[in-house]
Amino acid sequence: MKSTSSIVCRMATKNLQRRPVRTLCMMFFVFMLSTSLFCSSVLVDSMQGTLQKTTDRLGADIIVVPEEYEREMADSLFLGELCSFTFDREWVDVVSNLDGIQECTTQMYMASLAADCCSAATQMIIFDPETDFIVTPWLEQDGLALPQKGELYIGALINPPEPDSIKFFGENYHIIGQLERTNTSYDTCVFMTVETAQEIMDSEGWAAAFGEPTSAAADLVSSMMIRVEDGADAKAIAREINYSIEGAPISAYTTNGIFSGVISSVESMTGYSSVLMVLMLVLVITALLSVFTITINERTSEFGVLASLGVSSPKLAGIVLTEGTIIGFLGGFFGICISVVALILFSTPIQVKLSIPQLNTEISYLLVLSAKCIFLSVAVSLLSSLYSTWKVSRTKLDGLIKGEEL
Amino acid sequence: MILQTKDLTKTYQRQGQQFDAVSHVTFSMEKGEMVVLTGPSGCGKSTFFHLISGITVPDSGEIIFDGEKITSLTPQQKTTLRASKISYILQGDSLLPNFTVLENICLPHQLSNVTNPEELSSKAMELIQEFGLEKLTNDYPTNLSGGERRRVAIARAFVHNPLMVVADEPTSDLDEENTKIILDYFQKQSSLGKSILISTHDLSCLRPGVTHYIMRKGSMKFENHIESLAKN
Repeated sequence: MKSTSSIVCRMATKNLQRRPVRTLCMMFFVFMLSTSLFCSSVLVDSMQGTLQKTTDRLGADIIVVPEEYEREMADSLFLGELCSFTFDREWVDVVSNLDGIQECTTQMYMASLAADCCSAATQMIIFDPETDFIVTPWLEQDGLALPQKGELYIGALINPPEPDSIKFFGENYHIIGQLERTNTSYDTCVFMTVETAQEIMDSEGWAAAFGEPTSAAADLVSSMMIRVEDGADAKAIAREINYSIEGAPISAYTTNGIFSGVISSVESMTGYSSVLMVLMLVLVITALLSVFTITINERTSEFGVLASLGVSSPKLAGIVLTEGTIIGFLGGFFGICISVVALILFSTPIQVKLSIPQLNTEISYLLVLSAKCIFLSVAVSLLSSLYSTWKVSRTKLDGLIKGEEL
Repeated sequence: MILQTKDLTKTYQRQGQQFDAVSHVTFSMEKGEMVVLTGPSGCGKSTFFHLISGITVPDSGEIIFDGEKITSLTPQQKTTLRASKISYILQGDSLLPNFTVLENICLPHQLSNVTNPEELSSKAMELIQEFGLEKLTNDYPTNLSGGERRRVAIARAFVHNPLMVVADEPTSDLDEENTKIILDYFQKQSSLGKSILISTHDLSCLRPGVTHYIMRKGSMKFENHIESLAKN
């Protein structure tokens, strides 16, 4: 024996199938809501996620960079843009001896060229294994040894033309491993020690590209990463550093400070997205409510027939609610499908236009987000049908039979 | 006795004035009896039908159906009564437009949870044959003629084997042939023990074996029991 709920479902489905234009219009409203929610969530979460991962991976409280290069540093860390600024190592000793600093390490950044001399334009990060607390723990975690002279590690998104070597300025360097994906700009970088950097800088290709040979790699620093002592105020220490080295060609920034531009972009995007969602919700609920109310009035006598045949008011209401659920579910589902396809097809222009380094495409994240979108779509559709449901269930049966307006 | 009403009254307000749609009606009918109720439009026939099928609540009076006092039943019990014992054929086109002929006959009753869907389906096929609707089983009401639609509505009313069928103007706007098919079926069911109560303006419904009542301004009066056409 078929259960009543399956018959209610069948009646609702038939009603929707036999009114295809109305059904498609209603589904379209939910589709728009679902698409907006899904896409805006992916974009905002991707930005927030990358920012969070970058700051977590960095593990530094303060970053010291050449004066007026904080924007380049932030873009390099967040968006993976190439940078190659430096300052003199003598400032490292000055800063590292200040109070409140627990540990500090230096990094140097070099960029290869998008020319025949190099496999690709790539960001090179030169770290100091003796003091490093950013790359070394990562290597240890993956069970990888420190790179020696002429060796390097490549990020997860780098695809070298040959599996074990990569060319920079006309010379091949040995790839000893590829790091696991972090979904940060580090995925597009190569990592090496100062010995390898020096080898690159001493190469003929480097000289041909940049003219006069550069000074010793060991004397140059692009950034200084600082961890403050437990309980110390990073902002106050950064201020103290800047005060202590007044007139120096470098500046200290807290990690949040250096990412302030990105943080403000994320906040703006979150704000726009929230406003858009509220407007969409109001629009979709109003539209669905109107369509449900109009069509329920057209169907009064249909409900009257069912009532005269012994179908109870809760079951009549159940038919309307089931229609709302089906519309919400299908609209939401198609919205998610189209959003996923659009985000895959147009990921590059979206990333470039909105300055988002990575779109979050983790399956678990997308599944949870899809579930949320479908839940919201069904909830909105159900909410919109509640008024009609209430009207149907409280109207007197003779009113339904006579086809009175609900 | 299958149905009995005692001093049944229902008052409505129209343009600020009260009027008795059904006024102190005392009426009874036996099991297997076919009663034809005639009267001008607006005389209260439909309201009377709504009252006895539990759709409308009377202002005063009593309705006893199959030994059960309808006026004391809860709305849910009245719903169950309509789903199982009293079938109400509404005036005009009462088919569900989005359902095929077969679905129209079966689905509402399946939804009422009172009847067994499998039994219902086999009974529906019997009725479809009885009314000559075999070729229309999977057609939608929009593809049917007025007579075919009315036959489907009547098949639906009988599909779950009710004790009584109440039909509000079942032959209005129908040609002679369809009217005959429907009245013949009603009389056949009446002879098999079903109680049939119909309202009509169509005097061809006044056939031998039928009890005739007249309703005017909410009051009902026994006219006669028709023994033969000549007598009528």
